[in-house]
Amino acid sequence: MSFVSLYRYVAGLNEYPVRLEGIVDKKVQALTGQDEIWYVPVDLDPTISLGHIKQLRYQKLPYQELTWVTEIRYHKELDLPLRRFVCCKELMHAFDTPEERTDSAKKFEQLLDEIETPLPNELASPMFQSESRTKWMAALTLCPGPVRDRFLPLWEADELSDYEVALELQIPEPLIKTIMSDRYERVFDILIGDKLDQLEMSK
Amino acid sequence: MSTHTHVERMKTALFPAEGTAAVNVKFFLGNDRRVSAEQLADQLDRADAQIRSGAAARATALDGGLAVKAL
Repeated sequence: MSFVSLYRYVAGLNEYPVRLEGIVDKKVQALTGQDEIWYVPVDLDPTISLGHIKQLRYQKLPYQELTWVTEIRYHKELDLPLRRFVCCKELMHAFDTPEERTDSAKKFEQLLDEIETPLPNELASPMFQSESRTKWMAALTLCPGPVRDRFLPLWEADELSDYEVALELQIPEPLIKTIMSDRYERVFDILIGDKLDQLEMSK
Repeated sequence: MSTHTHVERMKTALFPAEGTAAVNVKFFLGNDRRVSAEQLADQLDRADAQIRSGAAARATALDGGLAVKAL
């Protein structure tokens, strides 16, 4: 239910672009118990990887509770829309379930093997499945329903181009066709669906 | 030159027998979909090295001071 709570929050902001730092990440911290979230620009080979997340839990001082640190590293030359999308997608891994987390050497090797040689969906590990699901979670976060509703009619009427919508939302231009397609609604039904109503009722 | 593969190096670095181990690692792939495990592990290794050496540091203003508009 945590991601549904995040979605409900960003959908209720009634503003755009949805800001990652200080808005989305603060809510993610509150919902998932992350103590610190760091963004670090690094020199990566963008043909191989645009970024990654590394999460650690450690004891800063003896007798202290464990501190949960989420480090999101991204290629330092990404433009603003792509930087926001890459970091948001990685941030969504804060919602990974224990079985989805890469938390052992064996699981790390398995994840790398699956990325190198992907398996059919039904055979993919929960770790690997979370890689694609988090892209959609990021899309729904940076373009929640009310924001999409504002731009969809204009985009469908060709009054706004992909580029213009991307500029307004500060997300990557190639993502616009996907967000404006009926795939958005299908994924919304899976990730959010009636869970939003359940959340309202449980309050 | 080390004879360890990047994957083996990162397995040891991320999940040491003692001390702080990672609890999650995930990747955002680049433009080339045919990446190898070795290449990805190497990217992680390089990022770790940059942070350790101080060549890379925490970012501020990730959103670049966006002007927000009401719906």
